[in-house]
Amino acid sequence: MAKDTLTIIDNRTGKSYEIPISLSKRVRILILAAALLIIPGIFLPVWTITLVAPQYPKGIKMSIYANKLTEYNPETGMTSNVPRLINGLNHYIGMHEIRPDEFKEFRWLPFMIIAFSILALLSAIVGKWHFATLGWILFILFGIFMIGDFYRWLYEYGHNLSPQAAIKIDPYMPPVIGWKRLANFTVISLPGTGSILVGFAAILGPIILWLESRQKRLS
Amino acid sequence: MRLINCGKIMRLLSLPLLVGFLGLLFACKGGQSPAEKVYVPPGKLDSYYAFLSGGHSGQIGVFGLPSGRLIKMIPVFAPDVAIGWGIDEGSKEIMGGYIWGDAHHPALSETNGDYDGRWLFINDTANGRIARIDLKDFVTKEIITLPNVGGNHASPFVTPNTEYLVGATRFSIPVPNRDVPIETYKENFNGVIAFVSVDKNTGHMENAFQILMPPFDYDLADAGKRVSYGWAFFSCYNSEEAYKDLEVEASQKDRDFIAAVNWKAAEEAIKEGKYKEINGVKVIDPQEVKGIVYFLPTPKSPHGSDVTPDGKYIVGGGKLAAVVTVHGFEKMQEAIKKGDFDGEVMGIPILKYESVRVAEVPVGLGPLHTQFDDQGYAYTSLFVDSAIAKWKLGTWEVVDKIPVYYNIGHLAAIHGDTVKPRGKFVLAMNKIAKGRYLPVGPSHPESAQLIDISGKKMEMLLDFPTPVEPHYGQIIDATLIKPELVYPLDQNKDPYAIKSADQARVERNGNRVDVYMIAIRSHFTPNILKFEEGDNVYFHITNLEQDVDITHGFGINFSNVDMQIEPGETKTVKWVAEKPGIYPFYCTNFCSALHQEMQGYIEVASKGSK
Ligand SMILES: [Cu+2]
Repeated sequence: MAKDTLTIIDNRTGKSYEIPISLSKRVRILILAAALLIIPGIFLPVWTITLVAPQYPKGIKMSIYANKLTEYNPETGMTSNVPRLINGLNHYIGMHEIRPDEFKEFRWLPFMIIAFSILALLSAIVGKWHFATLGWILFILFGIFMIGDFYRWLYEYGHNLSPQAAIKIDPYMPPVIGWKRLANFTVISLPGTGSILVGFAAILGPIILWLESRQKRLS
Repeated sequence: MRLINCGKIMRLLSLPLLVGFLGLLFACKGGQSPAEKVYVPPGKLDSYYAFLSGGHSGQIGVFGLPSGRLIKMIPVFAPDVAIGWGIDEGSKEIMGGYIWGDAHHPALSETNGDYDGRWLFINDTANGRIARIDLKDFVTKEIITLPNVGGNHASPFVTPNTEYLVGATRFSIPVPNRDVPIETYKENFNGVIAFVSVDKNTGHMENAFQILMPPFDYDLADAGKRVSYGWAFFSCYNSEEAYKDLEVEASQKDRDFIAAVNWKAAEEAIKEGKYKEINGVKVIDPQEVKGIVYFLPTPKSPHGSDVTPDGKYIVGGGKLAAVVTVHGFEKMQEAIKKGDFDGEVMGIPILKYESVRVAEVPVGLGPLHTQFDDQGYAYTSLFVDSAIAKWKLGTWEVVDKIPVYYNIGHLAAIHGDTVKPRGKFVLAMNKIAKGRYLPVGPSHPESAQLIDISGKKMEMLLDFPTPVEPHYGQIIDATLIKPELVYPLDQNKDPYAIKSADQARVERNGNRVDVYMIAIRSHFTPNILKFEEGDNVYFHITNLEQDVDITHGFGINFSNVDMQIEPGETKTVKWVAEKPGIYPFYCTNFCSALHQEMQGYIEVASKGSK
């Protein structure tokens, strides 16, 4: 017969707590919230890369979504589904053209988001710690995988430079997050609103654990 | 106890302190030097667009105010080899075979009597035309010819909702034009007042109707506004009907006329079929149709005919007089009702001077043109005096005068001919610049001068040279114009447009060759081309850029072909493979770090060799 409690050990004090294996109502509501927080990731930008240069003081902004990417030029107010300006600039240094149809991720990422939202929803309904924890771990692994995937693409673009390029530069690693200078450009890479919401959903895991253990301690 | 006192003192002091501080601010602002008033720091934009006509250069100058910086020359009636205006097929067609025009009076389109920033119109005095420039891209889109109008000078002066542009004869001709002895001028020559309709949505212009007039010289015009809506007023000189030595013969009479045209009544007459068609235009003959035109006697050889912002008065600048004559619209209406006439010309009643005149304002010598501000003042340019007079509407007193350098023709105030003038500045467009700029030989530039009119006394702020030759100007609040900065490629509907390099190709049909080419930093595709002697080659070039200010040029060596293609635009230019040989072509508009590499070669084989 399975235990109906879960043992939590506080690392600092070494004390252990027993919490019920069934999730409390509060926790289930929080997991439900996580399910909802993930959903906007389908249509909000996942990541943004902004290029700023003396002749582009307002920057050119590329937004990567779950299923597409857009390039926005604040000077013209025009948005395009092909990063025409960035490709145009990159061709000087022989960078491979960014072609949205080369990203297989755009085909399955929206479904993955929906899947994880359903998983969270199921966790809330089933209401068992095992199920919820497993779901959370899968979710985190998926997040790490996506960041790794993003890193791989950036590495490819920064290192797969045409030997025929008019301007020869050393291969370079564009920033996954943060900013970096390349020639006259500063490249700023930041998570988009979609990822930030997904991040909040992910953080709910440890928050729940902390809340529950605190509750146990208090009681 | 001390604390309470302190609070009290603070309260007592606060009001005077505040007043003092505000006063100081005000004094600082009022004390701005002329340099500060016109200074636009690096990276900042001007507050107003000034459109100044380029006269017989056939162009329009676009200046920023208050800085006076020349931003652009818009080619209209004359070729511009840099842009390719008059070289590429599209602009050649718009220019209609002429390579010059005399661009006189720019007129911004209006809605409810105020500029709306949609279009700019300008007349061609030489070849009887009007052009329309779209302010979405500052490009001339259409030029219409006004048949029967000899020398279209009093034009285009829009009506308050851009229902019509007007045109009128400066050099009377036989209507329809035919071979008659010049000596039969009085019998066989006519002036014409023309109305050109403007499509509300597209801006497309059409000849709506015309009115046959006596062979006077029609000079300038203004549309009635507010109370005088539905009318238009045309100044005219040479009521002597001279055709030889006008200098003397046309300056004999003490009074000439302002022709008041009831265009609403003319519309009715047209609807009722009271017209005859001459050269494809519906023409009303005032000898047959009454109640359309009246003459207001006006001293002497009047130039400007300017309606006040409230529409109540018509100001005539009698260029050979020392006064401007102010006619009352209401008085005119009464005089018409009472039949207060003093004879007629060609069936057109002449109203009694005393019955229509409200005031004669002694502004000075050679009054030409009047503009208005937001405080109830009028500003009249004085050619002979070389000055501007400021006078008050209603009291008709001259309150200030400022000399200008030299011989002012026209002047423009901000929204100065609309129902809602904005005040602040008036711009003098002077005919003579001698000595105001570094000397450049016997041909001098024209000279504009910016004058502050916000205070009691006018203050001279700035001189700046203008290309030949502003006859008139329009100044508009810059926030009303929002041009496109590139042409969106996905909206490019040119039949010869291609949207990517893989669509680039060469198509041959007999000796007509169509080259579908793209230009993008920093290459043309295709860039190696082989033709045969005698081929008529049409280059259709699409600039695939969507980035701001990345214009490409296309120039062929040993030819007259050069043009600019703006981002997202397609242009077609014809080039004839006349002689066997090699012809390099290249990007003529600096575009990128590899601009110098943006080139290609044409090989022309001798006939039958391949
Ligand atoms: Cu170029």
